Amino acid sequence: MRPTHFIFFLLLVFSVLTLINKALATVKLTDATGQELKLAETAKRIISLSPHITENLFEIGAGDLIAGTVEFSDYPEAAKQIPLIGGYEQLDIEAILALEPDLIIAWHSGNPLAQVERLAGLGIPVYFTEPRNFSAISHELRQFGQLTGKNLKAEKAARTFEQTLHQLKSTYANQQPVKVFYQVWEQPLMTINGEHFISQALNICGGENIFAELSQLVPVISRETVLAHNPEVIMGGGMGEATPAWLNNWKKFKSLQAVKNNRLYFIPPSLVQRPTVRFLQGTQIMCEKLQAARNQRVTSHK
Amino acid sequence: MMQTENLVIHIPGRSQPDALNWQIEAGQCWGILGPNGAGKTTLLLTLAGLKAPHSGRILLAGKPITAYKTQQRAQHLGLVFQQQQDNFPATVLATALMGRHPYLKSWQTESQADIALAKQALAKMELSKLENRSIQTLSGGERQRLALALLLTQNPSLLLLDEPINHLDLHHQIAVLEIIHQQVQSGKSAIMALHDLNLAARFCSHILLLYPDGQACWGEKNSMLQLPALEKLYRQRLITTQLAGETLFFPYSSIG
Amino acid sequence: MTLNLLPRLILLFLLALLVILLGLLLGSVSLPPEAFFALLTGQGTPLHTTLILELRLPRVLAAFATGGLLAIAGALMQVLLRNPLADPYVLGLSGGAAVAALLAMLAGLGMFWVSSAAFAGALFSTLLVFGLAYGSGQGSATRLLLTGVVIASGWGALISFLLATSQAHQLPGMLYWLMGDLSHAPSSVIPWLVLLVVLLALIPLGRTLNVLARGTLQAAALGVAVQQVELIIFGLAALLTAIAVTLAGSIGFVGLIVPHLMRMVFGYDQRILLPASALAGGSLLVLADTLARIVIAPQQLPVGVITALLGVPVFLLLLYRSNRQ
Repeated sequence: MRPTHFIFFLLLVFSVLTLINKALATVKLTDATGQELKLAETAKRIISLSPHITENLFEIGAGDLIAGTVEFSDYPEAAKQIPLIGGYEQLDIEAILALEPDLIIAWHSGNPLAQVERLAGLGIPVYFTEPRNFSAISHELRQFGQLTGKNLKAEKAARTFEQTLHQLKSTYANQQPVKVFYQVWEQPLMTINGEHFISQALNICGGENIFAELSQLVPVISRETVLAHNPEVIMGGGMGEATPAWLNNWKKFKSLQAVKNNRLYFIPPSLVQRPTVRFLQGTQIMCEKLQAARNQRVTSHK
Repeated sequence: MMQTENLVIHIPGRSQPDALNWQIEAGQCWGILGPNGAGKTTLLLTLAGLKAPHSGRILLAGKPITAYKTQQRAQHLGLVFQQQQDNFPATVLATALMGRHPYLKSWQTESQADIALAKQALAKMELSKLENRSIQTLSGGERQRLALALLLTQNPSLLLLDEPINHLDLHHQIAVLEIIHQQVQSGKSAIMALHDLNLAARFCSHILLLYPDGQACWGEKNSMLQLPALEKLYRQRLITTQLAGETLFFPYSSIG
Repeated sequence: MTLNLLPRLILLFLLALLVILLGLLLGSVSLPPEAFFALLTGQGTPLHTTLILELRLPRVLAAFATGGLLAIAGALMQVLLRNPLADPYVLGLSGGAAVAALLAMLAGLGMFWVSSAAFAGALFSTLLVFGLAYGSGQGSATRLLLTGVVIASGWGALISFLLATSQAHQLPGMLYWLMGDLSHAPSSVIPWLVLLVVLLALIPLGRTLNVLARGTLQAAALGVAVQQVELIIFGLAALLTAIAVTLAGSIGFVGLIVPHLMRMVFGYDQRILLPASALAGGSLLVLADTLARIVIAPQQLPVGVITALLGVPVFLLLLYRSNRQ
């Protein structure tokens, strides 16, 4: 071959390889709503529209890629330094645009969809999350890994999560079921049904949520029904930090076995209110408390 | 019974009103005559102690009217208003019975004697058949008569009446004026604002003329019912004639 | 004249007792009648004893007291303002209580502080409206009404602001308070005492109120010390409303509807109307609260929702009947 022809051939090969490289570098995945998302390259300036999304991004080492987040993004500590762009129910569109994001990660059931659609209409890619169960958490960790290019760390975090979960399940899920009343608010008296995350955590721990059958996710119920069910364990852990006072309000009902056997437990709200890795910590605590209740049962039967 | 000292009623915008130094004795029936806006209602309200005068004072049975407790005052004088407020449905009898309120202590309920008085008053006003009717179903004339029955039940020694025969048909007009006349004959006094010059002339013993600019003059009816004064009062030419010993006044018009 | 109304009053009293009994028997947990009798003879199961004595009885008593207080307050306001559309909240009392209660909730304070804040807020709002209306010496019922309506709107704006800026998990609590909720009523001993004392105090005032309803000038002409009486009435109505709102949040319609209904049955004599309104208001609220507890059991509704749902058709019916007369 003549030298000039050879150079042209090299250039051609080089161009083709670059093109192929570019095509391969596209990030392509399906979000929680089933929509396909394509990115030319991994995200560098992310807007997180929920504290739990922020937490999970930090978990996979992508915390420094977050350009802006919503109020109450308080974990880990470093997240408090991120510029705020409103609350998860009311976004500041201008602030978001000013940060020139290349990806928005949104929470489908929590964010105002009209506002998020507005942002999507302005050409910013939007990835929706909607974690409703434990496997969704590890799935999202992996998805975030792809979106940010932190695939290795994400895989590691997801694996750790799944292993811990598996451990909890194998230890506790098949133990003797314990009837539990889980209180999330005092005034009015509110609990959770079977679909709620916390209820799923209780299942993993071998617990039975006495209100699992109700249709509303977070229903308002009467003290009477709780008394009639006479749960073995009462757990309080809604979003307020005043839970110990709630537990005290049950103490005057001496007929409750949970009161007689002093099985009133406080679960730190920050460990059960977000679908993140910390949720496993909360689940761990729940499992330990239920196990203590079981052990007490055994000893009292002796 | 009642006396005013340099009384000037409060009418905003009036520059030089006359001060009233007026004496009302028992057995006198005073008619207040004047066009609309002259201040007849204001005068009556002031005399009743319900409105503060601009200056001067009013003495009731020798005592300043402001020195009376409202309940005591209501035992001495009563007022029939031009308009009745009937927002809430009450029965005719219950309304008439309110006239006994000034005589009852808080915890007392109306006695049989009180009820009898109210029924009597209703009978005089020919309202007996309507005793248990709701006042909201009454006609204008019936409401007026009820207000008068209330006054009779209250039985004060001084009766103040603001256009008491409004809305009444001829039969009732005369009946009411005759009853007032009877009351005055029995030793009470009455002061009433009237539009009808001739009825005032017949049933009143004394007249007070209230001019729109604040001027006033008062005295026995014969000296007050002079044509020039009346024409100036009503700003209307009048013709007068005698009929069955009574003086009658007619408005003059080029028509008819 | 009032004698033929006595049997009706007795009937109303019996109805009240019946409604209280129903409130004790019904709830999200069903109670067989035998269990109730067992309870009366001291042989009830611990669960049933707890249900009736510790849960339902205090709640029913609180509901009755609240309903009675609101009904009387409503009747008094209607006389004071000579307006059949007046209700206990027209002078902005509940708005002030609401803002104070919501602020206490936002601060994360417990129920005792929320109730105390509500009471303080109600009194503050009362003094504010009163001071603005009567302060210049030109006070009258009309001025009171106008001032009250404006202040109430102001509170309403603040409430909207607080709701819009609070966190999602705090909203149910706030909304329940605003709609009126008896699930956390504290002990109703004081409200009952106040209710009984005020009813007694209103006996001598009853006839005066009848006269006052005819108009301030006419009342003055009949010997009523109008401004004094109006002050007392307003003060009493404010106190009753403040206590009711402290107990159960701002429950609507009871104060407006009950006096109307009672007037249809008992006429307009305040001496009968006020105790009748207390009985009827109490019964109505116990009934509404019982419904709130059982309609979608085990889920609970705030009682204010039931009173509103009941109140609107009743009011329309009243309007229709009064138009036909």
